[in-house]
Amino acid sequence: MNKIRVSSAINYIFLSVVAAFFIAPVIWLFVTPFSNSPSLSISLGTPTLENFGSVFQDPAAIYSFGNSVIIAVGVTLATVICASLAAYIFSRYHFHGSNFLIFILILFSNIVSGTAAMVPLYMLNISLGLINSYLGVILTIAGGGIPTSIFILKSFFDSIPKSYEEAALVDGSSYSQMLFHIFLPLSKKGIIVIATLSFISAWGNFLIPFILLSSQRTYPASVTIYNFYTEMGLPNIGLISAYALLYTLPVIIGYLVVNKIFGFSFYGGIKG
Amino acid sequence: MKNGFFNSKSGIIIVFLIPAFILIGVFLIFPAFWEFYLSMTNESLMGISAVHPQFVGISNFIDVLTDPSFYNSLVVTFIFVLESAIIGQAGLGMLLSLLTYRKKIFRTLVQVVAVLAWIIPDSVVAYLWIAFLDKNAGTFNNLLALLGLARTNWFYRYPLTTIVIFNIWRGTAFSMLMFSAAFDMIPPSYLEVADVMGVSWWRKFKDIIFPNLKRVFFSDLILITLWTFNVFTPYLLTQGGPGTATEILPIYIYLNAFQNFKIGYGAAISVIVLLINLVLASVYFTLSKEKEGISL
Amino acid sequence: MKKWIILLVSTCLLSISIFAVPTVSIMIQAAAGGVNSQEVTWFNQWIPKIETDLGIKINLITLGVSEEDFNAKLALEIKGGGGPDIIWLDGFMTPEFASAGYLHPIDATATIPEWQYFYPSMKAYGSYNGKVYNIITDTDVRMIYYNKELFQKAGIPVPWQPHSWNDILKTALILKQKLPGVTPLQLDAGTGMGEATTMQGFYMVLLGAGGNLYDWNTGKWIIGSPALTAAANFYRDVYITDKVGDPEYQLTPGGREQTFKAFQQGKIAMYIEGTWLYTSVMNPSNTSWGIPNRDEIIGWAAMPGRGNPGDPKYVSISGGSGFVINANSKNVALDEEVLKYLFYVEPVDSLFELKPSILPSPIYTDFSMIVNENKYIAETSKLLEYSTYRPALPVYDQISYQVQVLTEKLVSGMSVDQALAQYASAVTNIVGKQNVEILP
Repeated sequence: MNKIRVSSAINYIFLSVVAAFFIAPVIWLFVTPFSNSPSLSISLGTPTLENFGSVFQDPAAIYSFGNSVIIAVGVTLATVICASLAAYIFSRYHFHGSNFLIFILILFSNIVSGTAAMVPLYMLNISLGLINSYLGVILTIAGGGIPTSIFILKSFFDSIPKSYEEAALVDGSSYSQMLFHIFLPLSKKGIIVIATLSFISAWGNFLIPFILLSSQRTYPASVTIYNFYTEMGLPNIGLISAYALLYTLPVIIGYLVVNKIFGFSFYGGIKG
Repeated sequence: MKNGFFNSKSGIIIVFLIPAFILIGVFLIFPAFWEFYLSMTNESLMGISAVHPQFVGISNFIDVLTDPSFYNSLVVTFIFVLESAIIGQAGLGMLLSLLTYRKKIFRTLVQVVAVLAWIIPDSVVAYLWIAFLDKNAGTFNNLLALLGLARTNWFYRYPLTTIVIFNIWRGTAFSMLMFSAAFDMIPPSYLEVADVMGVSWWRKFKDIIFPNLKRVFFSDLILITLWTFNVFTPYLLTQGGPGTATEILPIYIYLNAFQNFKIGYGAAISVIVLLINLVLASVYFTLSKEKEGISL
Repeated sequence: MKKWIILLVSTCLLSISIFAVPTVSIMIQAAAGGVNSQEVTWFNQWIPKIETDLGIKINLITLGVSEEDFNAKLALEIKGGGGPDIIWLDGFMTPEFASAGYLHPIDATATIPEWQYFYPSMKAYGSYNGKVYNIITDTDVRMIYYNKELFQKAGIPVPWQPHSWNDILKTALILKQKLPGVTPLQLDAGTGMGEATTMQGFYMVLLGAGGNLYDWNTGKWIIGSPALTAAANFYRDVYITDKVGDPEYQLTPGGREQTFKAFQQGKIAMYIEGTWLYTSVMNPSNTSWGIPNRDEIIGWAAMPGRGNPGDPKYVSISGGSGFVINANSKNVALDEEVLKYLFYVEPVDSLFELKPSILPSPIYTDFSMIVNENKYIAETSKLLEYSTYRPALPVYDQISYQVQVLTEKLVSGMSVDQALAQYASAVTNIVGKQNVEILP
């Protein structure tokens, strides 16, 4: 029994150290914006909201959040709709090599999200008349993210037992009814996971909006924050940290809410 | 209506696949093939070859494959992927899900902090780490100083190790989430029976956990290997330096395509990376032995 | 969902088309509140006037990203058939952009009344293949800045003017010995510093040994010469042998900003840099790196040559930026109207007031109180006499990158021979065997 206690004590110490490792670099983000003497070290000094005040003096900083919301929500909707329909087909109508096909698509999405692909992507958007529009940014980001989403969602669908489907078919449900009445409700978690992931990746995407958009008015926060870094330089730490916190909060809160309500995990729902 | 096109099997396949395939076709496959084409031209973003790019066949590929700095990047990338993704993220992710198995509070706690590190946007994360590791004021060096240890410029002294650790920090959440979910799928009765029988830890892992985990294990390895192979975030920390110490392939591509403006050359490296990824993915598929058996 | 987006996009388009007045878009690499914020302030002053006077609308696009990203994005936009009408572009990028067909040649004589009075060097700097593409707004010189307080503390008399590389190293060694914790000399190196490494770093040294990167007589790039070796050796002396420079600044992310900060805080004693460092970075109004009593504590000296017989006495190299017109611009005549306006004496002098620089023509300086009262500009302008320009060739940017790599290797401790050999092969790869030469 003693042996077990010791080993579980070591276990907890180890877990605490790992947790500290994950949290340590992030603490700064939650402290510095409220500091009256912001620096690269963690020190609160006298708490103040002044740093946020200076962020809001810059109109670009404010509407860039609106732009981020438009882009991220658009990408999320496009991804969830396209991926859930396709994942259903991939899960229920097996054809040879479908898994490998999805992997090839994931490989392609890696090369297209790389920097060398920016020339084709830019010219593609020009020829589609989508340059400098949210729609172009949304579709470009979504196109790159859909294969991974199909892959994740498919495994949720795969875990739904065949018997559910057969019962529904006997009841006279159509294929589309089956998707909406059985698959989607039973895979709610999966939908939530891909929605969260695509929202997060669109929210953080710098390169595509930077390349495809060309006016201050349409830039999302990911591009605007870059302005702050390069142009303001390191010393303006109060402003940068305040902006960074505002920019990061929606993602963190979104995750925590999703995690609380649905549980954020790659878990295939029901087990047959 | 019930027997119409939209309810026929082939009808539904087509209708449901159309939205995804249009998006993927236009915004993924098409640009990817365009890039294959560019890799065989001397397309440039600046200078005279920007006006009249010419088809140069495989000469970009020959140039890449005879360039010592490509091999440097290749080696750096392999070390980076092996240490940060395969050993670091997958190993730590596995360990954490094992150690928190059926310890709900601890699992939630560790998972939440790991996921935080995973979801914070790139640009913020880069800044956090530059602040964290700053030699004179950074939290980490402050801690070392408190302990009486020397302050160190980590990006300068141990650049590759630093970005390896950074990437473990950044990406472990995904593996942990995958493995944790997979553990929960193992019927608890299996392990309980094993406990009653007094089976050793290693046997439990080998005979119960791993077989149940195998599919997830290989999916995880494939995904994180491919992602890590293509991750660009370290650029925001080191720009590939000092020297070429952290010049992983995505950075090498960026420097060629956008700093040297050699788009065709950059595209050729991308294609080579794609081929390497393809080989790696195939190896994993073969290792997992069942071609259709990879899923979450 | 898509309907909603289409609605949104069309609303945007509609709101744009309501302004039926002709629009000229201008893009600059700056952001309000940033290091180049004076440029934004200047435009905000003048845009309303230009809009009223010309009956147009001006759309100012400020992009506060790094120069490399700015150029890459701009090139991508123009190549794709889009992009802003007028761009404030670094002069040394002119050949790259012009040879790619991205720029519209400007009939400067007809467009800008002041053009005929521009210094010939300024005219040449904005030209490529005999055509004018870039109307230069400002130029600069390079020199050694030094912190007088630190010099006095170390017992070095000020004003200080070195006459050879040896003088610099000797002074640096005294500083090193007397003032521990102070970095005696900042000589830019490495790729992280970007073009600053080539211009205020390696070129300043190379010129001092009578060398250059490019042979103007033969039209070839120099991959080996006694001057190149001497310059590389000077880097080695500074960073490895005498250790009077700090390699960490050169090789750490954000190193350039860190050196600004260190210079502000008196942790760097000598700093080889351009006009911009004094007028923008150290400007007392700069919230990030400004030095409140800059005029009292910062001195400047001309950068000497190596000091051997036949070497140049002083050296400097000049850059500067100006306005270019996008080849895709729909209404070049209107763009030229805007340029004409911007180059009137009054706007140029008001830019000088915000951001002092060396102006491209005496017509802006001769009758201007603001310019003439600026002692710093008046004195440092004399260095123009010793100053030269970078080779205005499309490939320069790539060679420059190799120079940065070369210095990075030297600073990291690679031997001079090995680093130069790798430089030679990299340059040969870029321009081809027929376009390189080795000088005895």
